[in-house]
This record gives sequence, C-alpha cells and structure tokens, in this order.
Amino acid sequence: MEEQIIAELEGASQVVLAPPNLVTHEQRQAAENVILQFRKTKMPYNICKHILEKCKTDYVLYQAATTIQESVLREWSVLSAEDIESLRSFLLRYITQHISLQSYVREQILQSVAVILKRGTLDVKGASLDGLFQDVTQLISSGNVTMQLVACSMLTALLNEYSSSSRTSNVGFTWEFHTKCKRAFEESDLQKVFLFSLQMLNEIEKQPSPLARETTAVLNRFLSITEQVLCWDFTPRLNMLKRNVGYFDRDQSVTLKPHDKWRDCLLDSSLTQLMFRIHQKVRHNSEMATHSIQCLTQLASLNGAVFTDDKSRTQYLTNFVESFLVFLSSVDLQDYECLGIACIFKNLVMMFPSICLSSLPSALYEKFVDNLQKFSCSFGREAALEEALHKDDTVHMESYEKMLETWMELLTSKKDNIPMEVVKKHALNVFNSYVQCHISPPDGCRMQNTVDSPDDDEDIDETEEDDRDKFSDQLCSVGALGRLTIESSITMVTRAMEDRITRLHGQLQRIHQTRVSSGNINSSFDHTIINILHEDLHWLVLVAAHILTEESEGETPMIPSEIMQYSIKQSTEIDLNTTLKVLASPSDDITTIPGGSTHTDNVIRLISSIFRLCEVEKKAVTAKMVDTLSPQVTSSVMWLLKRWCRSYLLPDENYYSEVSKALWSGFGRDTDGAQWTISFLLDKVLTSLNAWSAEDSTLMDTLIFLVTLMDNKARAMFIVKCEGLWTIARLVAQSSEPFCNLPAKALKLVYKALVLAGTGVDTQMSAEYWRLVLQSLQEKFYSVITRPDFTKMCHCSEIKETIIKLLESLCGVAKGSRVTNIDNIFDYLLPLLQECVKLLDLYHNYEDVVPLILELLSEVVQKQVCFLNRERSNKLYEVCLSAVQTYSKHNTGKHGINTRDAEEERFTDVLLVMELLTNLLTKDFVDFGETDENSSNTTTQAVCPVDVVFYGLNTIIPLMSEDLLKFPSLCSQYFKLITFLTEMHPDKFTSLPEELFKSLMTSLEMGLVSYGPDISKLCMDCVYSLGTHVFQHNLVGTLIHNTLKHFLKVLFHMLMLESFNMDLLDTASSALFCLICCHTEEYQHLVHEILNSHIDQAYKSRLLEAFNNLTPPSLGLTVSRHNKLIFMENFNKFLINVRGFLCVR
Amino acid sequence: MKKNFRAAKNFSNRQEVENTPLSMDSCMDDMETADAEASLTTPVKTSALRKNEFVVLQGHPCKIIDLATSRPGKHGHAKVHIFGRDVVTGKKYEDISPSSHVMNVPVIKQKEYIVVDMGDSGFLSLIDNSGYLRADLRVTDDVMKKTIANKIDKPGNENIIVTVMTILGIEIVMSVKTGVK
Repeated sequence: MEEQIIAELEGASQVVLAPPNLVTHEQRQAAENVILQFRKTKMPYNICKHILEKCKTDYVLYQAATTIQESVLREWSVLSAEDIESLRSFLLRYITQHISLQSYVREQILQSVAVILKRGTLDVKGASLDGLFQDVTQLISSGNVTMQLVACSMLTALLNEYSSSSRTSNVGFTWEFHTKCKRAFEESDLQKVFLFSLQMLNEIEKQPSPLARETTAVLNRFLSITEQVLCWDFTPRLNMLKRNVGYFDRDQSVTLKPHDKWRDCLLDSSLTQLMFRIHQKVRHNSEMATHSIQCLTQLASLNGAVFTDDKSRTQYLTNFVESFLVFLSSVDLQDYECLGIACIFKNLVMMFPSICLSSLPSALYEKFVDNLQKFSCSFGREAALEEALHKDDTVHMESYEKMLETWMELLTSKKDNIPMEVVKKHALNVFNSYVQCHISPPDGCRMQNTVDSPDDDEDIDETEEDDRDKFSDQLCSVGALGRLTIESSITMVTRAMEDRITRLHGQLQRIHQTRVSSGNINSSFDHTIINILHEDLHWLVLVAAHILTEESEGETPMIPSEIMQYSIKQSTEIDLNTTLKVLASPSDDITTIPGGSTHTDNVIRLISSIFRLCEVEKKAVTAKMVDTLSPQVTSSVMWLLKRWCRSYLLPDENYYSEVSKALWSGFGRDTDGAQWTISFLLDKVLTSLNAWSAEDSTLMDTLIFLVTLMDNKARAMFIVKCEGLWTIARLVAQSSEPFCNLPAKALKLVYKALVLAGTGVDTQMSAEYWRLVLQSLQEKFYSVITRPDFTKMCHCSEIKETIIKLLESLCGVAKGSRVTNIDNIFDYLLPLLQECVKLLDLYHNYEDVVPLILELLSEVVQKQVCFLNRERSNKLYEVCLSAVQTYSKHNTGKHGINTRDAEEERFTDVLLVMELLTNLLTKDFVDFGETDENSSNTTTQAVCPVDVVFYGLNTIIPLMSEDLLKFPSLCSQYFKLITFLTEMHPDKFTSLPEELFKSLMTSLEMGLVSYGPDISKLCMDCVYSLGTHVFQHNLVGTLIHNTLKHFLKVLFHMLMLESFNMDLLDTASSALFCLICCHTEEYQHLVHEILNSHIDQAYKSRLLEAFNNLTPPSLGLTVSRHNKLIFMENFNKFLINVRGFLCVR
Repeated sequence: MKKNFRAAKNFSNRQEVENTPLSMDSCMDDMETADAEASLTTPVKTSALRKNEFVVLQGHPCKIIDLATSRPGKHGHAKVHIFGRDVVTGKKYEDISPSSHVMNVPVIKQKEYIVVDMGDSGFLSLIDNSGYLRADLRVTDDVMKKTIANKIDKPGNENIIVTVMTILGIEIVMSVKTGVK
C-alpha cells in the first residue's frame, strides 16, 4: 500500500519535472493532480513519515514535507498536543539524520517546523519554543559544522515565519493572527535568538585568524541571523497605525526601535565593540561584510523605549562613535563598505537629537565631524571618477549622496543646537573638494579625458538628462555648504570662473586670428582645450547658481540671507563706484579695472563674471564663431540667469529687514544699474536666439529665461521702459531675424513673454505696444487664412507650417494673459478662435495641427473663463461647442483599434479634448466674472457649458477603451473629468443614452480596482456623487439605481477582503454609506454572505457584532452630512477591528 | 491623403497638392512654364526637416522616414541623423548633418492626367488639363500597373485619373482614382 503510493508519486514527479517536449499537457496535468490529491489526504502523517524515510526522490520528499505542513494546519483541532510535538521533533531529527538532503527539501522541512510552531504560539496545544531551542543548542554544541548550519537554517526559518513580512510563507492565517504571533515572539524568543547568535559571534571572534573554512560558513550564517534580528520591524505596543492593518508587505528599511526589555542587551557597550571587531575580522569577504556592516548601520539607528533619557542616549552615542572612529582610523575602506559607512554617519546624525551630539566630548565631536568631512571628500572624488569612467556600479555616488544628506541635516534641523564652528570649518573642505572634482587642473582635479577623449567621443542621446537635473540634489547640498562658508567659497568660485573666462577669451581670439589669416572662417580647430574650458565653466555656473539662489517652489524667491548678510558685511571695505564699474564692464578683465580685484563687492563680482561670460559668447557670435561655443554652457548660463533674476533683479525692499547697498545699487528698482543690467540681458537673449536657432534645448532655456524675466509685474513695468524690449517686439512683429528662424514651439514662449511684459506698459504707450505685439500677429493670421486659395493650399507643408507657428503664437498670447488684461485679450482672441474651429475642420487629419488648436482653446478656457462676464463666457462656450462638434464629426468611431503598440503621444488630441472639457466646468466652481445684469443679451438662449461637455463625452467615452486607459495621463484626465461631472451635474447622468451610460459605468468599475489609489479615489467620489443624487431624488428602479447595486458589491468586497490603500478610507466610507442607503437590502444580503463564509464561531460573532456597530439602529440610513460622519467614524473602527482577520495570507 | 482626393472633385483646376514642403509658388507653377533647372531643389535648415517630408539624400529624392537628434560629446552641436526612402526605387538612404546646416529639399510638383490607355509594357496614354496628349510615361510599379489595368477593364462613366509627381526631374505615377472630369 505505502510502496504503491510512493511509486505513484515518484511516477508523477517524473512527469511534472520532465521537459515540455517529452510529456503532453494532459499527462502533466494528470500528474499534478495526483500530487495535489495526495496533499489533501486525511491524516497523512504516517505515510509522509514513511515517504521521508524510504523515498529517494527529492521532489517527493519535498511534497511530503508540504503535505505535513498543510495537514497540520488543516487538522489542528483534531490533533493532540503530543501528536504535534512528536511530528515537530520527528522532522527536526529527520533533518539531522539526513544531512545530504537537497537544500530545497531541507528548507521546506524547516519551514514546516517553523509554521507548526507558529500555529501553536497562541494555543494551549502549542509547545513553547523552549524545546526547539534545546535542540538547537545541542546541534550547535555538537561541534559538527553541518549540524550547526542546520541549526542556523532552523533559526532563520523561525525568524522568517514570525516576521510576518513578505518573507513569511503564505499559509492562510489572518493578519491579526500573524501580528499576535509576531508580538508574542518579540516578547522573549526573539531576544533569545539574538543572544544565541551573539554568543556564537563572541566565540568565533575569539578564535585566531584566519578562520577555518567551516567556521567561516557558520559565522556567515550567524551574522545573517543577527542582521535579521537587528532589522526587525518591532510591533508598536500601542497605537497600531490603522494604515498598517491588513498589510503584509511593509517597507523593508526600518530603524532599530525595540521594546524596553532590550535595554540591557543593546546598551551594553561591549555589544557595539563586538560588532566592530567582528566586522574587522570579516571585512575582506564582501558577503559577510555586507551583513556585519548592516548590523552596525542598524545599531547606529537605535531609538525608542530602550533609552530612558538623553543621558543614556548620549552615552550610547559616545560609545558608538568612539568605536566607529577607531575602526575608521585603522583601515582602508573596501568599495563595498562605503555605502554602509555613509549610512552609519547618516543614521547617527539623523537619529540622535542635537542635545546628544552637542554633549559629546568636544574632542570626540570634532574628530567625528572631521571624519565626516574626510570621507565625504573621498567618496566625492571616487564618485567623480565613477562618473567620468561611466561605471555602471555607482556605489561611491550613492555613498556620497548619503554623506551630503548628513551634512544637510547638520545644516538645517540641527544647526541651532550644535557647535557650528567645527561644522563650518569642515564644510568648506567638502565644498572645495566638490568644485575641484568638477574642474580641470591646476586648481581642480577633474580627469582630463572626460571630455572628447576617444572613450567619450560617443554621441550623447537627446534624451540624456542635463547635469543640473541629474545632480540637482547634490548641487543643492553643495550650494548650501557654499552659503554656510560664503566668505571663502564665493572667492574660490569667482576666481576659477574669471580664470576660465579669460582663458576661453584667449582661445577664441587665437582661433579667430588663425581663421582670419588663413582666410577660411570655417576652418576646423583642436577642440581639446576649449572643451575642457567649456566643461569647467558649465560646472562653475551650476555651482554658482546654487550658491546664489535657493529652490523656491511655491514661495516668493528671495536673496538668501547668508548672501545678503555677507554683502552687507563687506560694505565698509568695498568701493561702491568700483563695484558698479566692474558690473558695467563685462568686456574688460577685472584686473584691468583700477581697484577692481580689491574693492569690489564679492557677490556682484561673481555675478559680473557671469555677465562677462555672456559678453565673450556674444563677441564670438558676432565674429561668426558660433561653432567654437558650447550650447550646453549657454543653456546653463540661461538657467542660472532665470534662477537669479527672480530674486536679485528689482527686489522688493519690503521683504528684507536689512539690504545690501551694493546689491541695491546694482539691481534695485529705479537704479541705473538695473537699467543697464536689463538692457544687457535682453541683448544677450537676442544674441542667443540668433546663434542657437538650431539647438532646441538651448533655445528653450533662453526663452524660459525671457519669460521669467517678465512674469513679475514689478519687473515688467520696469522692463517695458527699456529700448531692448521694444526692439524685440518690433523684430517679432516684422518676423525678422532671429524670430523668423525659430521653431514653432519657441514662438509660444516668445509671445508669452511679450504679452506678460505688456501688463507693465503704461496707458500712454499701451496702444503702440499692443499694436506691435497683437495686431501684427492678427494681420499675419488673417493674411494666411483669407488667401483665396487657402482651402486648396492649406495642406501644402509651407502653409501648414505657417499655421502651426501662428497657433503656437496664439497659445503663447493666451498663456501670457493676466487677470488685469483678460477682457482685452479675450476680445482679441475670440474672432481668431472662431477661425481656429474652421482650421480644426480643415486640418482634422493632421496630428501636428489638431492638438495645437485644442490646446489653444483649453488654455484660453483654463486661464480666462473664471474671470469673464456672462456675455463673454457664453461666447467662449459657443466656440468650444463648435470645436467639440467639429472634433466629434471627424473622430466618432475612430481609434479603439490599433492602440496596443501605439505610444501615448498619439492620443494627445483625446487628452486635450478631455482637458478642455474639464476646464469648461471650472466656472461652476469658481466665478470671478462680473455679473452683467444690464446686458441686453440675457434673452438669447445661452450655451450651457455642461451641454458642451456632454456633447464631447459622447465622442470621448467610446474611445476610452481599456487599452487607452492604460496610459496614465489619459486615465487620470478621464476620471478627473467624470468626477467633476458627477459632482456638479449628477442629474445629467440619468438621461444619458443607455449605451453611453453603460460604457461609462464599465470604465468606472475598472477605475475602482485597476489603476491605483488616486484613480480609485476619483471613482469612489463619482460613486458617492451618483449615489447621493439617486438617493435624494428617490430614483428607485431606474437604470442608474440598479447599476449602483453592482457597485455596492464591488466596493464591499474591495473594502472588506482585498488589500486596499487605507488612506482612501474617508472617501471609501462615504461612497459605501450612500450605496448602503440606496440598497439596504442588498447590503444585508452581502453581510449575511460574508458571515456565512466564516466557520469559526469566535470570528463569526465578532464580525456580527462589528456589523451591528457599523450600522446601529440609531444611525439613520439617509444620506446626510451628519449620518455620513457617524458612519465614517463607525467604519473606521469597524475596519481596524475586522480587517485583521478578514485579510488572510 | 484620401481627403485631398475627395476635395479635388470640386476643383476645376486639376492640380492637387499634397505633402509639398516647399514654396507655394512652386505648387502653382505649371509644368510648362516653370524653370525646371532652377527649382529642382531648395535649401532648408536641417533642424526644420520633418518626418514624412522630402529631402535629397546622397543624390536620391527621399521621403523622410525617421529623424534622430544627437550631440557629439557634451559641448558639441546638435546633429540630425536622417533616414529616408527613395521615392522612386524604395531603397533606404541615410545621412548625418549638423542641425544648423542646410540640406537640399526637392521641389515637388503634382499633376493629374486622364488615362486613355495603357500598353503592355506599362506606357500610359494621357491627356492633361489643356488637352495635350502624351505617351512617354511608364508605370513601373506592378501593383500600380495592375490597378490601372483593372480600372481600364471595368467600363464606367467616370474617367480614370492618375496623379503624377515630379521630383528631381523624375516623373512617377503616385496614385490612381476614378472621377468625373
């Protein structure tokens, strides 16, 4: 009988493991069935034992172990405590007696032991782990390496099972059960495991080096166990976060935050020392070093209840830092140690409060910061090498970034409570070393072959990220370090910059002379030196930008206080006239200006060196030497100027408590300095547009700077008084160079800048300015579309190109409009928009024209509709309606096919239509438009925006197939639109055509479950809005009412049984509540269904009680704010209570 | 493209323009009056080239099938890698040019003829707008030849109209349709 079963299983396993060409699908399925059937055998323990003893096929052994595990869990209630214990000891004994088992079989058996033990944790039938620990002790003390390794595997399996993480095997326990077991395990056994491994580490550490091969293997395993304990995610005693309830996959990296019972063992100073000694011993083996350094990193993050007060924290920190510094001074780091070392530094600084850092003995503190500096610089140098050699392994770069994060912590949150003098002193070295790594010798140390060496001659892809974005975090930190040490750092950067500019100037002159004398103005030249200079300047500009300015997302950009203070401090030593002379002489070397290098404000001096670079470039352009310049450097300069002008140019005195006279004379409002600066910059912009019309990104950086220059009204008012701006406006109006050469998308920015500047024109000049900017554009537009042969010629590519340019320009006009001139701009645009609708018809087949028209409309609606009066907005709605109609005419029934391989860009038009429709609804939310009661037009039937939107939806919804929704931007725009609509106009959904309504609901259901939490939230909002409407208008029996019944089911299952994002709880509870109100009976049905699915009486009654508390009789099932809030509260408690056992792993 | 043909029905002038990247004057020129030598190509900045337009690659009139921009080193100037397909032979050609340089773009002319007949070797008998008869144009493409032959075999009230494109002095039958003339 038993032999027969074994034979059968062996046969089946052969088939299952056979390669696909030897067995048929049916055979394989039959064999799998045999095995699955076997795993369901009742009371299979004896036969399994027999298999384990007798069978020789690994796969069958594996299945036997699995069968034991599954059966014990299944038949737990009928097994006696002795049965279970004997099974456990049998399995462990079996392992020790069969040391030659395949590792996957052994691991499976050990896992079974661990799972059986875990199942018994909270049960009287379960044995305590003491028996197991005894066995493990025996194995270890046996002195037999194989036995010791088995013991290690056993402990690892135990840790894996009890950690209740993604490592835990999937055996169908509830989340609550997992968590309770984990907590029970943490109470004592986890520490036992830890002490166990510490004991082993201690013993092995005492052995003389080099260790025997076997001992090394054991050490490695114990290190890994120690690491796992130190990385343990301890269950909080109180306040379990509700978002974690029901979750198994947690963030892997946690700090070491154990319970107070760990105090004695972790605060013992010998522990840290032991771990450092162990690391010393194993650090030449990369695998073991990774474990040991991870242990140290975790120990460096120790926090929580183990510390009774700051004194014990300080003591621990002192002890740790001492051992750490001793270690650092005694070794040369291996590459694989760097990241760990950086993490230790970072954890120490981040996890220990300032008071502890400042209470360190001063010599120790100084030495710590000194080491922080030393290793920052060294990682920085290695990182630069990595970058230069294009290494794939970026371990030094990552380490360097961690070190910079550590510095930022010292510079920001810690700065007020720790001795900063020491930090300052060392910060300068870090700053200097960063700059040195990025510039060439003699003052720098950048590898010479990084630019234009044979290795580096490869083409750079268009998509390659610019340094300023790629390294923005680093640069930001380095900028902060620079400002901290501004007195020295600014001088260093300025000197380097001045030196490189002078050398660049010299190089350019030499090339020019050669060309003039050879008579060939295009003759080639050696790029080596000039490219080194370009690379230096590029980096110096990036660093300078980060010193001079701070990120100011969402805030008013300000001159950083360190810079302001520094400039004020210099005021007694500098000469204001000399400073201004230096600023205004970009064509001169500063050394040729009397007193220039000694009596100039250093902030202005740095800025003037940027201006000088602009001037040198300008001269090269004039001399037709664009080929010698670097578009990259110009891009970086333009980007710097963009950041710089926001805070430095025409600053608002009211924002500052104290201002620097030098900065105010150079760039302040109503000063000659500012006047000169603006003319200079506008001229630079023109030069740059001329030179770089074929370099897209440089062009865009230049124009973004121009737009930024104008995007503040105070600046605009000042700038329109400059002749330079009028020159630009005139050139644009006449389509002269450089503007006739610019690509279409550049014109958008040109017009945006010009229209923005227009807000600053005073009434006297206003007519003239707008004539130049807007009227000329209008004339160009009409001259094209009124050509008698336009409809015939419009597909000719030259005309099409002209139309594209005009559309981009109009879009720029719309983008540049401000609240103050919105009516004028609108009146100007309206007739043009009407023409654009006709263009939409003409060009409906062109993927490059259609999106532009839609974008233009969408832009106008978004920017303006909220501020327009009734009459104007009605006109806009009319235009939009006819545009949407035109679009629908050409697109109904399109797409849908062939979306599988298509790229997202192909659907820009769909996206833009949805954007337009969404924007059309905004006036329902916010309306600043004047109410014009006296208007005569009130009698005429106005177009209602929601009708336009529904008209558009008729076209859009059929297009939104499952495939299209996979594109994130389309997906989120679509659901945003639907959410808006359901919120504002739920009534419209009752009268939709059935087909349309159904596809809408299908997409909504997909949205609930398929596209992530953000989309889920939008869809729940939709459901809520629709449900509320249905309830309040008592639409029982309608199609929409019936559909909601289905949504109740979907949402109910999602909330109760699946792992969903608990952040959505509030939205979800509102949606669920209004669905319950609509379909009370169906809800009760669902509740019964879920109750009946539970066999366990304890769970069943808990669940029943929880459901009763969720909707107590006192809670009225009507949708009102009050009831909704009560339900939300109840639901919150409900989920915390029941999700723990509803979610199963 | 289809749309152009539809629109063409309404035109008394039988010339129809599509995909012409160049000066509109050239579109309106009549074959007979244009100075063929002077207007074979026009210079266009490489950065202004677009996909699906035309360009001369290594002496061949090509339709651009792909464009890729790259830079030789960090401080180099952008250059454009152009991939094209010869409109006559269908062979692929490619070229690299700095984006600020100028490339030759062929001037395209298109003209419609009514097909009278087609010989076995593919020579067409055509009448143009002004009633001028020519028989020197040959259809080389087999598919096109077959399509025309089918249309000739099928008697109907409508004329068979071919669109002939002239590029770098070469004439190619681009498309055929039936319509009322």
